[in-house]
Amino acid sequence: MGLKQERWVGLFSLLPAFLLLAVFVGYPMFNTFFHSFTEWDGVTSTYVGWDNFKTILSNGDLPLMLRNNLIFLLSVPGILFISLTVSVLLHEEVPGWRLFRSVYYLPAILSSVVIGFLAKSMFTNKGIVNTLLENAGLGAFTTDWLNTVPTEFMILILCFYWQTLGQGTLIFLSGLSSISNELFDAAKIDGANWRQRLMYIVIPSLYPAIFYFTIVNVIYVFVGLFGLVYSITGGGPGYETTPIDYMIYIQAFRSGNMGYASALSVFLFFIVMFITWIQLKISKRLEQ
Amino acid sequence: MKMRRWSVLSIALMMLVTMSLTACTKNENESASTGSEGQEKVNIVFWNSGFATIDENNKAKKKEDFYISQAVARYEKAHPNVKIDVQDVPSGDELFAKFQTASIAKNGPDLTVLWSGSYMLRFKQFLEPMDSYFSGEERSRIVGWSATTEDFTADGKAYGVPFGTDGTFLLAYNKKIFADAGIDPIAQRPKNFQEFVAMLEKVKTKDITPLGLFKDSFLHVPDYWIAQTVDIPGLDSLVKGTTNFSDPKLVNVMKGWRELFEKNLVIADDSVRQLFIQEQLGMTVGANADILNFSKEMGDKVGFMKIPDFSEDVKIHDGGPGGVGAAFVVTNYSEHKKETANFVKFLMSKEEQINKIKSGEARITVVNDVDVNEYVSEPLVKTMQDMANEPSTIFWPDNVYPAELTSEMMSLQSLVSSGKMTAEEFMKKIDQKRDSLLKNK
Repeated sequence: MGLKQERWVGLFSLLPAFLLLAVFVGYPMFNTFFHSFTEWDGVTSTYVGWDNFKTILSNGDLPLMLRNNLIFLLSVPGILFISLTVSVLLHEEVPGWRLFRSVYYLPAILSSVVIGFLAKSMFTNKGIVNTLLENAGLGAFTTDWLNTVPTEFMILILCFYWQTLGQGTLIFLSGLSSISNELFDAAKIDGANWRQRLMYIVIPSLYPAIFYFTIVNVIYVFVGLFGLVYSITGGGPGYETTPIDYMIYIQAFRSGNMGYASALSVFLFFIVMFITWIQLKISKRLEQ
Repeated sequence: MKMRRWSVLSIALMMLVTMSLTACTKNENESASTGSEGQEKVNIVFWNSGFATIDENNKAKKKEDFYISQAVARYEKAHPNVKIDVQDVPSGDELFAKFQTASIAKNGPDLTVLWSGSYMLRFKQFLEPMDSYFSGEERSRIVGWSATTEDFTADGKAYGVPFGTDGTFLLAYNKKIFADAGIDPIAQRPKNFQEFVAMLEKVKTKDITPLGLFKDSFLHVPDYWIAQTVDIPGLDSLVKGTTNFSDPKLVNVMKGWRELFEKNLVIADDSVRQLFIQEQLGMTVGANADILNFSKEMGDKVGFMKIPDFSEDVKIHDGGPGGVGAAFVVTNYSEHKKETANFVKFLMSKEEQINKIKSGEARITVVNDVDVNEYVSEPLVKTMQDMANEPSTIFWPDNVYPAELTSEMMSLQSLVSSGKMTAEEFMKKIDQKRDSLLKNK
């Protein structure tokens, strides 16, 4: 087969996938971009130019939403560290590793809403957490967990960690299994302790996995926390725990401002693009 | 040759994709087909969020044992060409989002039940006006049409049919807890907010949380106090911007709302029904279904009272929020609007309303040719029906406000109760939101 023919075959082979992408990803994206410049109720739209974007920047909600997203963003290194630690402990077969290996992935298969409602029932005023505290004589520490901003964030992040731990551990365990045992043996013979092996063998070898995990979860905290926020705090009190993706839902489905919600989606798209671009830059620099 | 094989394969794949996509869009005309006897078969999709199909206290109860399944069976028997496909859906925000997206794609149901007033009128563009389907006589035997019309008048253009009434939202109290605290809330009914607080403080001395509210009880208590302070025309003025929410009288209502939380007299938790039944709360709020459930679970231990007036100079005394909180709606993209409207008429018929009451799934009704007392021996039901008919029952204020305004109120009110926003700031924000909505209208 000639080069030209091969090129045609390649193009035709990709065509169905491109067609599907164009229909199910490209069209909704184009549609959202288009409607971000309109006032849209889902059926009829009126062109309003940059008005929606001007409103986003001027109505005063943006700093609070960005703060909320930033709080979630800052929680990503925490789950990275926990997942890494758990996977190393499992890899090193610490006591109890067999049991833990069989259960650690369970939270990852639960939906966010299930985890959210479970957490909500635990942290209500008369929920199990406050009841346990009272029974343990720690009644002074009982609080309205779901109506106080720092504790609400704590619960949201706890659920995010619980849900993500399985995914992180799985990724890092598979990365660890690809590291040659001879490397560890050699390090041990050279007198490297556990910390040194972690810092100089494990982490550098897991670098691509760490990078992948970080990128995926940074994107996730911007676009994937909707289920948890919806089921635990509902974005409240006020908009104190409302990230941008939840505000898109509020605007589109509670207020019916589909045009404004589209503009917020475009805004979020560029924020995620920008952060991912920074991560890629950092990654390239680290590789060099 | 190889190239040709690849091309054939690619074309086959493309055809497969095209066929799949075509299949995705080909469900619209499937709801009507011709039956074996030549009569057109009609399939009506009913997204049910209003009729019970699960009994929390009796999980063994089968779907066929519930009123709606039996009513559908009766209707299908009388109309062999009609098939009603009852699909259970959640209510509230979940239903609104589902209905909105499905309606934009025109693949929503033929019939559903939405919250009435502004909530359903938000979707006016997808709703079939009901005026041409209901004669004056048919309309006159159903009360509460104003909850379904665009101008909130009884004879306005109706986009839905009253589904049922919430009666009057009341406060249920534990008689024993109140007696232990030395209070008889009926004989010593609080005349204003200060007396109400004093009563709750007495209950608190017994180490019991005096009042349990839902997370959205802003709609049940302070929103009602606002409505009783300004009256129905006053609510209209607030919506139209001729008066302001930041009126000092209304700001006081929000200050009161804050005070309840500041003094730890209230918990806002969605499990308050269970907590009340478990006697961990002195008092809670409830509509007629809750009240009857409390009565069933707690017997003589439970008493009921109307929400106390906020002050002596309110315009509507001794009332409560309530009324027709939900309505049947027929979609304007339905291919069987007439048949669907006929099914709604069937459900609203005298016989079916009686069947519904007899089934125990409805206690009070919105039709005026059925006397519930003939079919229910429970005296509390009579009280509920009487209260529902009292003019002091104010139609849910949030069903009158524009949906965006209610959304803003609901988002921000918890900041007031938690002390992160002052009552003045809250009301000012609501005025600003209202003004921006009016400006963009």
